[in-house]
This record gives sequence, C-alpha cells and structure tokens, in this order.
Amino acid sequence: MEDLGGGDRVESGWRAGWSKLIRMGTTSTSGNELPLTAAQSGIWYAQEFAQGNPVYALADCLEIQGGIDRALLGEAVRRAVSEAEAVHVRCGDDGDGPVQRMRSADCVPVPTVDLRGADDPRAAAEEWMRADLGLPLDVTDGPLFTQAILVLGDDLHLWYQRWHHLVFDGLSTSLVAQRAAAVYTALAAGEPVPACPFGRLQELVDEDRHYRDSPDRAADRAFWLERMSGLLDVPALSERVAPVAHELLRETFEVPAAERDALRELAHSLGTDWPRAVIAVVAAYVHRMTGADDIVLGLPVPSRRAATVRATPGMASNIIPLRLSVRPHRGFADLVRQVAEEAGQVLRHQRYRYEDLRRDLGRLEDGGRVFGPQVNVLRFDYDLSFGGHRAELRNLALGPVDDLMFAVYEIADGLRLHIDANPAVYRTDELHRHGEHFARFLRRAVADPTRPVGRINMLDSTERARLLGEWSGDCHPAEPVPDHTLAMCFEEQARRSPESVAVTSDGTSLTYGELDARVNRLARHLIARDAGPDRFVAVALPRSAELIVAVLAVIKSGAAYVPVDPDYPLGRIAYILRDADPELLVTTSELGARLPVSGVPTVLLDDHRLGEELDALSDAGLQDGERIAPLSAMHPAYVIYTSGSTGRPKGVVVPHRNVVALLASTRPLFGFHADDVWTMFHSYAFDFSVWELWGPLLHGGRLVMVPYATSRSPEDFLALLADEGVTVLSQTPSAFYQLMRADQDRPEIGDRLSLRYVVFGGEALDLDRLAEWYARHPDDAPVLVNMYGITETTVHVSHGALDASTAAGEPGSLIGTSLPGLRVYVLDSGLQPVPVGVTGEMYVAGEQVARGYLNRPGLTAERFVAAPYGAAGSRMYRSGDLARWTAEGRLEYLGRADEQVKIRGFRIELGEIEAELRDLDGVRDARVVVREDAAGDAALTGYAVPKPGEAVDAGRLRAALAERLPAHMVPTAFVSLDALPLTANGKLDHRALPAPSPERTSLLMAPRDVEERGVVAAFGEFLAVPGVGIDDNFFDLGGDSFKAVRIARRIGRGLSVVDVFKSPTPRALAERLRDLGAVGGERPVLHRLTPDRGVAPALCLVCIPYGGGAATAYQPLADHLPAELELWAAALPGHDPSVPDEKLLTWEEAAERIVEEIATSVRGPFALYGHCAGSTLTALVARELERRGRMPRAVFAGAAFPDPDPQALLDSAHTRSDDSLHAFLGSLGGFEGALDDADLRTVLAVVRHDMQQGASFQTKARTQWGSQLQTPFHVVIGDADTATVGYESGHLDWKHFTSQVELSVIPGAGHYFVKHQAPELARILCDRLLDRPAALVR
Amino acid sequence: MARINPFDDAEGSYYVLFDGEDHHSLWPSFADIPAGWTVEHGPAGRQACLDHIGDGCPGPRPATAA
Repeated sequence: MEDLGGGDRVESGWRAGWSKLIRMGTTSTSGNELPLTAAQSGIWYAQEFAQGNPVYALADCLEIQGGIDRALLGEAVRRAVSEAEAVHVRCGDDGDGPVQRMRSADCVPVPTVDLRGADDPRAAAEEWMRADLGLPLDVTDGPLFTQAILVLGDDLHLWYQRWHHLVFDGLSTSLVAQRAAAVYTALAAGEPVPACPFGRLQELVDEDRHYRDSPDRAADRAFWLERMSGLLDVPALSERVAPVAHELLRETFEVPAAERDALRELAHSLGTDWPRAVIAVVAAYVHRMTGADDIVLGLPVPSRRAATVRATPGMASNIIPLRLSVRPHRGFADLVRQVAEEAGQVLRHQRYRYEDLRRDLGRLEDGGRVFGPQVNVLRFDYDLSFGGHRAELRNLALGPVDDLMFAVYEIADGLRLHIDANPAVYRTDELHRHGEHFARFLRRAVADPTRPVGRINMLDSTERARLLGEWSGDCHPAEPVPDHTLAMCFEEQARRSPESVAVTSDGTSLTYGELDARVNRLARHLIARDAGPDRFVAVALPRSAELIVAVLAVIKSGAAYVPVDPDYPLGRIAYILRDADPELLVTTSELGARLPVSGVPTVLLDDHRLGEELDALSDAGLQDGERIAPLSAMHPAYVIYTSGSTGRPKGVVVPHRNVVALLASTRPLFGFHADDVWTMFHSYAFDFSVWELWGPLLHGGRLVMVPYATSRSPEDFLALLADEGVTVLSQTPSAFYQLMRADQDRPEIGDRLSLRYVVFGGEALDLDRLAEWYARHPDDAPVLVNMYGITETTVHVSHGALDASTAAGEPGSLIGTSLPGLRVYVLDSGLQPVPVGVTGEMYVAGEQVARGYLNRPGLTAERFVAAPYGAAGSRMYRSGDLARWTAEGRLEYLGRADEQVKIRGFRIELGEIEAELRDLDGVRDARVVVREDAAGDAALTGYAVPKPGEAVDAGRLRAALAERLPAHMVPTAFVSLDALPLTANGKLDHRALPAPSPERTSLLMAPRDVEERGVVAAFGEFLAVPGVGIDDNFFDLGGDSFKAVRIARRIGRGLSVVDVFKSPTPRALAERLRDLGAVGGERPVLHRLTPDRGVAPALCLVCIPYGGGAATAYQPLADHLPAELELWAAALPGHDPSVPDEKLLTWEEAAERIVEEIATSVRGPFALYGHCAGSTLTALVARELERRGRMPRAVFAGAAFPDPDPQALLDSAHTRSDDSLHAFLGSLGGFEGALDDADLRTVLAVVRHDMQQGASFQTKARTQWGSQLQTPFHVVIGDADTATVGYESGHLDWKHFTSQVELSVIPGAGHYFVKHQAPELARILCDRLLDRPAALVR
Repeated sequence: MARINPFDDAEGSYYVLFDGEDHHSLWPSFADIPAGWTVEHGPAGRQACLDHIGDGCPGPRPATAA
C-alpha cells in the first residue's frame, strides 16, 4: 500500500524532526545567525544525506604566467578570500534547523606547494589537485574552502581554489578571482588597494527570503507551470537513473579560436551571443541522440537580482529548465534564434527554485526530472591580469551532477568544454564518444548554420563508413541471386530426387515425384481458368498435403497465392478477398460453403468432377509457353496480409526473386541439405511459413505438416519433433518457451530430439529465458538462431547464432547481423546513421525488400522509401522497430518505435517485470502488458499462469513483486490464466488477454441504490474502469492513495481517505455513507487497521499519529503485527485534506473522544502508541484512562521526549509564518505529491495546530499534573533520527510524567521509523507486549 | 518520450520522389535526395504528397509486377 495523501506526506521530507521545527527561528535571527538561502538548503540536505561525499564543491585553477611575486600573490588571495563573508560562516543544525552563523573571517591559509623539483611539475600539480578534490570539506567545522599556490616554475604558478557549494556558486568564484587580481595589481604597483566591491551576505539572504514571500514568486510559479504544461517526459542521453556519486566523469575538449569566432559571429548575426549558440548545439545534439522533439535542458543561473547582490559571493544559484522544440528539418540558425528568444523569457523567472517546480509538477514522488542535460555557461573574465601577468582560468569541478552537464567557457584561444557525468549512469567509453561526437557536431553546425539540424553529421569518416558499410552489410553482398522463379527451383529439385519424400502429413507421405505430378495437373487446371503471372489465386485450405499441392500449383501457374486462413474471422476473409480480387479461390466444398467467397470463382479440391478433370490433364513438367504470359522472377509469388497497429490489414506483395534470395543468403549460414526434416508449424498465412515451405522443398528435405491440434499442445508437438526426427525447427519465442517447459517436464522425449537448428522469429526473443533450455541441451545440438524479420522484407532480415554464454551475458534481444544481400541501417530522425550504443530506427534495404502494399500506393511510398545509402535508385523498408549497435557491430532489438512503454515518465522494461513474476512461487509463466484506462493513464497488468495444481492470488503477487521491483514497475492488476493465448501465428495474442478485473471473475453485481450508484460512478471516473460492480475492490482496480483522496473528496459527506482504505468496495463504502448519515456526519476517530479475524485479540494497540499525520501512517505497522495483536489508529478530526471543513480539536477534546471510543470499541487489554508530537496526546489519553480506572498495559512514545523549555516552543509555534514553515519543509523535500495550494494550506494549518497543542500540553502538564502516571512508558528511538539527538539522557525526561521509563533503539532508523522500519518496531512492541518471541508477519 | 520519425512528421515538408520505373517515395525535403531518384512533386505538406501519390483510390492494378 502506498502513502496516503494528505498530512502524512509532510513527513518524508521532515527528517530534521518535530521538536526542532517547533523551535526553529521564525523570521528574525538572533545576533549574527542567518538562515540558509533556498539554494543553500538544497546543498545542506544533500550533503547531510551523503556525508563525506566530496562532489559538493566547486574548484578552479588559475594559471599565471610570468615572474610573479609569490608573497604578494598569497597576500592578495588571502585578502580576497577573507573579504568573501560567505565562506567564513559555520553551518550547523544544533537543534534549531540548519543555520549559518556569521563569524570573523577564518584565517586563510594559502600554502605554497613547490613542485619545481618534480620530474614533471605539471603532472605533479594535477595529481596534487586531484587528490585535494577527493577530500571532503567539513560543513560543520570548516574550513569551507582550500587555497594553494602551486609553483611549477619560476615563471609559472597555479592558484588552486576550492569552495564548498553550500556557501559558494559559480558567480562567486569569478568575483573572488577578479578581486584577487585587482588586489595583487594594486599591491604590486605600490598603490592603495581599491575598496572591496563585495556586498554583504545579509543582503543576499534577505533578497532570497523576500523573494519567497513576494508576489514575484507567485507570478514566476504561474509562468513556469504554463511553460512546462504538457511535459510528458524529459529526454536524456541515457535511460539510466542513479543518485549523485562520489566522483564525476569528465570529458574535456577545446574549440579553436576560429570556430569560437565563427560561433560568435553567427550569434551576433542572429542578434544574440555565443553561449546561446552553444546551448542550441546541445539541444540539437540531444534531439539527434534521442529522437525526441520536446527537449528540456537545465540552465544553471546566478538567480540574483539587485546589483549589490550580484556582487556578493555566496550560494544563490538555481537551475532553470529551457524547453525547446527541435525539429530535424529546421536549420540550426533557426534553433539558435529559438534558444535566444526562449532563454530571454525564462531567465526573467530564474529565481523560482527548480525543487519547487519539481514539486509543482508532481515529479518529486516518482523521482522524475524537469530537465535533461544541463548546459552551464561560465562567464569568467578570461583575461585576468595580475600586475600585467596574464592568468588563465581552468575549471576543475562544478559541483554534483546526477546525469550529465555540458560546461563551457571562453579561454584565450577559443572555448573550453567539459562534459561532466555521473559515473553511475555513464561509462567512460560512452562519455568519450559523446565528447567526440559533440565536438564534431558543434563544428559542423557552425560551419553551415542553414543546414537542417537533422543533416548535421557527427560521425568521422571511418565510423560512418563502418556503420554504413561493414556493419550495415553493404560490404558483404551475397552471391548474385539466380534469376530463377520458385517454380523452376522446385522442378529442378523434383528432377534431382523424385523418390525422396517431400511432404509428410497426417501419416501419409508424398515423394517429390508424386508431389510434382499432382502440382502440374492442378497448375494446368488453374491456367485454364485464367490464373497466370501478375494475377492472384486465393487459397483457403486446412493443414494438409493438399494445401502444399495447391500453393505449389498456384506458383507454377505463374499466379501469386493469397493465403486465406480458414480460421480467420469471416470479416477479415471477406476483406482480403475483396482487396486482393483474386481470379480464383482454391478451397474445399465445406469451406467454400462457409466462407464469404462472394463472386470469386472457386476450385473445390474435393469435388469429384475436378478429380476427373485433373486425371485427364498431363502431369509432365509445365513449360513456360503453357502459361498465359511468360513468368519471371520479378512476378509476385504471394500476397500476405499483415495487421498494422492501426488501420486495415495490408497485403504485402512479394516476388519470387525475394524468396530465392532469402534461401540463397541463408544456405551458406546453415548448410541445409536433403536429410533435413522441417516442420510446417505456422499458418501459411504467416510469412514464417514461407521459410518453412521452401526451406525443405528447395533443398530436397522433408516437410512435416504439423496438425493444428498438435501445434497447440507443446507436449504433443515435442513428441512429433522426436518421432519425425525433425532437424530444422522454426518457432516464435512465445511458442518455444512453452515447448521448453514440455521438454523439461518430459525429458524422456526431449532426449530423443534430433534438432540441428531452432530458428526464432516473429517476436522479440528474451535471451534470459533460454537458460533452462541450455541447462538441458548443448550449445550446438541444436544451434539456437535468433532471426529478426518482417513480412515486408521476406521473412528474415538478420541472423544471430546463440550459445549459452551469449544468452546469459547479453542484454535484451540480440538479433545479430544482417543476412548477406540485405543491409540494415540504424538511422536517427535526420536519416543519419546513429553511433554505437545509440537507439535508432531500423531500415532494411536489399534483394528481399517487397514490392509494396497491394492497392496502397501512398502507404507503400511512406514505408518503402528511397535509400539514401547503397545503390542508386534502390529502396529501403522503414521497419518502425528500434535497435542499437553493440560495440561489436551486432544489432540489439529494442521494440517498436511507437510502443515505448512509459509509466509516470519511467521507461518500463516489461521483460524485467515478467522475469520477476515468473520467478514467484506457483507461477509457471507470465506476461505483463500495458493497458490504457479510459482516463488515459497507462497501467500495468500482469497475466500469470499458475503451476499445475496451484493457484495464484493477486494480492500475494502484488506484495511479492513490491519487494523486488520499484513501485512504478509493480502491476496494478493481475489476471490468472490457464495458458497464455497465442495467435494462429504463435505470437502472444494481446487481444485475447482478458481485461484485468480479478474480483469480477465472480459475479458482477450492479449498484442497488443511490449510495452505491454514487460510489460506483466515482470509482468509474477516477479509476477509469467501466462497469464497476459493487464488490469490486478499489485497489484491485488500480486505485492508489492519491486516487483514494480524490474519491473521498468527490463523494464528500464526511467520507475520509481512511474510509476508502477500510471499505474499499462500493458496497462497503455505501454502507459507510449510510452510517455517516445516521450519526449526523460525526465519524469515529479510531479505525481498526488490522483485519477482522473474528476472534478476540490478545491485546489491542491504539496508535496516535505524529503532528499533521494521518491514521493510515500506521498501516505498515498493522501489516507487520502478528494475528493476536489488533491495531487501531486515530484519525484526528481536521487532519484529512479530503474533509477540509472538519473542525480541529484541542488535545483535551481529542483525548476525550479517543478515551470514549476506547471504552466502546476496544475490548480487553490494550496499549497506547504515540509518535513524535502525538506522544503528548498519548500521555494525556493515558491520564484520562487512568482516571477512569482503565489502565493501559503500556504507553509507547516513538521518536520523542519532552522539551526542556515548552514555553519557548509554544511561542515559536505561534509566530512562525506559513510560508517559512512551508519553505522549511519544502527545502527538505516535504509536501511532495500533487498537493494543490488549498491542500497545502490545510496541511500547514494542521501542522501548526498540532505544534501548539503539543507545546501547550507540556506547559500545562508540568504545572498542573499533581502526580505521575502509573502506566509504564517505553520510549522508542531511531538512532539516526536527528530530532532525538541526546536521547540517551533525554528519554528520561519522560519521568516528569511517569514513574517508569524504558528505552528501545532501532539501529539506523530515522525519524519516521513508524512507517519505514515497521517490522523492527513491530518486533519491539511484540517483545514488550507478548510473553514470547513473536512470530511476525513478514 | 515522443520519438519522431522524419517520414511521420505532420508538420514537415516533403517531396514525392520517383525512381523512373514504378516506385514512388515520400521524402523529407530537408534530406539530400538519394541518387537515382527525382522529385516528382513538392515540396509540400505530408498529406498533400500522399494525396498526389493517390492512396485510397484503388486505381489500376498496382505496381505489383515489373
């Protein structure tokens, strides 16, 4: 179960704790203490959670040429650094939240490191600096900077400077460098040092704070929400996501002066400056690398307004998104213009924090980004002079990067570019390639700015030649394809081996001689009835030897056969016959009578008159002169109809020559021979059958027709393979996985197999799944071969022989390399070849490309397109499939271009989820698909086939997967199936997968009254599921906590989120509504969160939430308690944002309600638990209960002990402003999720209320309680909870209220262990409350 | 992430290319025209180009055989 909406969302960012929050300064700060800026807060918490990580720092190195006065330089640096107030603060959090304390300037050590004696002084300097960059800077004790002068030679010095990003940003480093240069220059000239130009830190902090409460901020927020509306997904150069690492990868290169000048000139001519042009290059590059047109870059900005603040060193910088529409056909100069215009607009709104924007856009909850790669333009004064000695700046570090950042700045002879990347996301070689490609891309973009973005070439000639030549297959033409028709090829084979068996079907066999004779007779009959070249003959027959005879006869007549699978829906058959308009339909009387053959003349093979006619015809070889026109290899051999994802089926017209080419190119790869036995497993309407038909017949092998029933039974099929001695098997992966299981279940059959090859086609192969096969069979008997293919390019395109180690070691679906005679290009949005490792779309050119789609010239012209590479005038087929090149030049298949699965912006690997699902106990096979609900939300549905004799349960599957996969990858619904439905072609039949509705496998009950109708309507609306029954479970239908809030609010009438959780079906929820109506809308406070087990529990635990929290925060704990413990949680009135009008209660009122309900609802012994601020209410409840003579077994106080100065706490709770409270929580990452402004205010009001109640209770209790409680207190603390530092003695302060206090500590737990360490907490409670070690629920 | 294909860009500008025999090809006008093909129509919008090729009307038997 996910977090509930509402108050308890606050907690995730609320790690600094309750009591701290209460006491934290309001708007005034005492003495020389300043709050952190919003920018600083971000770094503070990031660093606190990654203590010792040295990447939160900026570093530069100034190289000063000439005989400088080292002592003076040291003095200048010391002075400039001393003047920068920001770096001399101490930051800390000693109970009042993070603050920076102003103090007199640190002594600034500027050590001189003399490296003149080193073998290679420069290398020694680099090493020295690298080592320093790896050391963390201590934010608590300082110093927050490192300065050093490295002496490389008498005339060569480096000033090394490093700053913690908590106190310094990019602008600051250049301010200090300029100041040091000015001081040195004055000192060297013996002139007075000019006045310090820096502003005061106080001004910067004030500007930041004033902004947060200003109308400007609201206007900025509105601007950004509008600007970012409709943003689905933010393209990045990698699909991987990882937290900031301890180091960064950096790729550096320089742009020569001439290019920089050209860039500058171009920018000027467009009315802008060179940095905007560089940003445009990055945008174009990201577009080309991802194929996305909606590009969002992150721009680090100084985020300062007043002139004095712009001259103030400190940390105020922000990152703002720059959203651009990049189209391949638009010129690069156009894009520069767009960047200039857009940047001009967004920079005006640069003070709005990107952390806030992420929250506004609902991206915090799912870790989603609001920008892709960053572009950091460093505006140094590169012409710094130290008393006439030129100094050149080189950046060494720019702070943390979680993905990738381009940084650029001007140097004397050009520009320097760094690409900083997170090593957890990018490999070194990958980053290196980006460096090379980007540098070339930039050069070529600038060289010809009118060139469309799609045509800028980023490859060097060697790489391009390899991609378009060797790898695509252009350098390996097959043997010239003989200009033969299939008819000629078959006749030749029949002459060679007339006595060999050609076809086995249902126990009968035909030799090549017999087959040819029957084919000749029927072909002559078809010719007599107008069949011939360029004409079509439809064939609708069951699987039989006659089917083979008929197909061959059509081929021999010169006509193209149009397969019509009799099992197809009648509508589709009628469509095919209408569209192809065949001369004849070859079928049987029974089928002829059943199928919609309207108007097409039939040839009924079982008609005895036809038998007599055929007997009268010659069975001798058919001469070309007998045909109505000469037959050539370019004439169509067949028309196979395929379904697209959209629109009507289309007939792919494939000539003889294509099939001859397919066999010519695969022959040397497989070494097919006359002893091979092939199966015809697939429907002859699926083009895999073309391979299964001509493979044996043109090599003298034997074709075994697989009866339909056998093809549906993996075990029977396995037996057939063994009995018939099949050597070449073609399978879709889906069908093979089932066969693999049969082989495992029946090893005695599997051991008799004679397979030489298993050829995969028709679907993506999941290499991982082959492990169980390889466990039982050697790599080479049979050889498993993955072949990517498409009907439009004649069955197969690529070939990749597999073995156990490839299958185990390679990611995804490796499809090998193109067949000889074919070329596969992987191209980007500009039709340019993509570099290694970059995803592009596959285009296939060569002998096997079909003629096009029948009757669809437009569709043909958009899919069979001119080939920009290869022979003049050639065509290529645009596959719509995604792939990338491995470093070895092999293709990895990545799915359909139009079917990228994304959920909440995450790319979902369905295969990964399927693998986990299959691994679960009791699951034999599984598939996961994305179904879109009516609201347009993509939702994952898992289909599981249980092992024989077992059953699968949706709840169990969901819970088990939730432990193995991130939440966004856990299907919202599960369906149990006896077997996965396959299409006639052996692929997963998506349309046959039933809609997910596990509850509805039983009876669907319609709503019976107005209450149920209302609830059903609300379910239908928010879950986007039609036809909800009254017993359908909200969560099984895909509901989550956010939707629960919306439902409760829509229904209203006092219904709360808790009600939806407790009564998740329309029937139960309607019942609840009736109850609410009966009691006049007053809802009970206590809710049982453990299931009703029908027996009296050993003990009840009554829980009171933390400040601002909801009852459902205790659900994880409830889920982890053993059956004999019952958990009730208090939903305090006014704490549920879905019921905003509810009145908040004082602690006294709340205690009274709780005590009353304990009296009526809770039977037997019980204990109380209160977390954080809730512990004070718990103490009050305990006192009231003791007064009434009903003593709790114990009181547990989680993550809390009394404050030594409750009055100060109370004052602070009154004075703290909403915005500062929110800002504080926001800076912690709190308030995540889709809280709108009204909700936010509600939650803040609740937080404040609980603060005040807790504080005033403590004040009153100390003065007004006459005696201590009798109930023992048990304090539970997380030892990583910064809110309860000092708990070792602090927990004893509970002795103000009770005589007995004990302590338990949860190691490693933070403040909210009630949710995040529920199992550990459950263990402590059980140990304390039950007289035995508890058998806990996992 | 919406991945755009240069042949599917509704806002793009296109040609209809002809190979001199019997094939037509839609072609994004920003890209170089491949050798062996000539412009028969355009630059024009995508739909205008498809209309020029004449999808939708059955017409004569298509270019199925050479």
